[in-house]
Amino acid sequence: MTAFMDAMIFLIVIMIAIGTTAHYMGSDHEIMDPDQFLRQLSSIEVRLSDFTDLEDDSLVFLSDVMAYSVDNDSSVGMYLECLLSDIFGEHRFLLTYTYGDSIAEVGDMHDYYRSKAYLDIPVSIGGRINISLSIL
Amino acid sequence: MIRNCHGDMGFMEAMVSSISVMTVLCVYLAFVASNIGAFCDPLEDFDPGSIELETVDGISYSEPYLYSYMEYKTLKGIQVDVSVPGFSEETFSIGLGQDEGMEFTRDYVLILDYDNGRKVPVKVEVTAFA
Repeated sequence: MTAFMDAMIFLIVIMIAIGTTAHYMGSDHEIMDPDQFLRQLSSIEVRLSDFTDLEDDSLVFLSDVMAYSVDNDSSVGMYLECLLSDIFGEHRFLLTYTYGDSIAEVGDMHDYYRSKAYLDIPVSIGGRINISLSIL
Repeated sequence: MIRNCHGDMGFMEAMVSSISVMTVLCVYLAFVASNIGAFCDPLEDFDPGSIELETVDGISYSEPYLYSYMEYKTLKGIQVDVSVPGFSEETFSIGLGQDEGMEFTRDYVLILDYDNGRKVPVKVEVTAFA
């Protein structure tokens, strides 16, 4: 009976080993670091007319358009949603940006996050925009 | 299969147990051996900047780096999908070699020059076939 018990214990150990092996072999997509993404975000330059109704084609940083969009109508939220969905996956992020007393959010992941990063960027129209990104 | 008063079957029990243990161990080792390649990611040293991607007026790239990387890592093939989220719906694909075998994928985001002086994030998805 002892030999059977030993064999059973060994089989359980092997099953755990197979599970661990399969877990590490899983083709996990390496997800980008949110801190790295925010640093890249601060260097994006677009035309002002890309996301606003203003008839102004001047080149501006995306952070400037985000600051403008907090209190004004713009499509920068849709752009950020499309960009973040492509990079982190749908419903796996929450981007919050604060300019002055106003806050805007992109994404719907409020409950739990795996990683979070903050960035504070000066805005050309004055003041600073505070951006936080949480990802699952 | 006669048990003694302690429920043991002696030599027979020991043989059956050792055979089952050896069989399972062999199956596990064969499984690990056949998938050993999956543990080392061939894209670990890949540098997306060396593809010299350009997204102004269409997408252009440099092939030599991809070929040398394929040789260096002895890959069967490599595929690079380039997209500009939010600005272009199209995905530009570069495929070299064969597209069969074990697949390893990594995503990179590069800030590149785009139309009219814009600098936008470009998603580069690299798939290696080993």
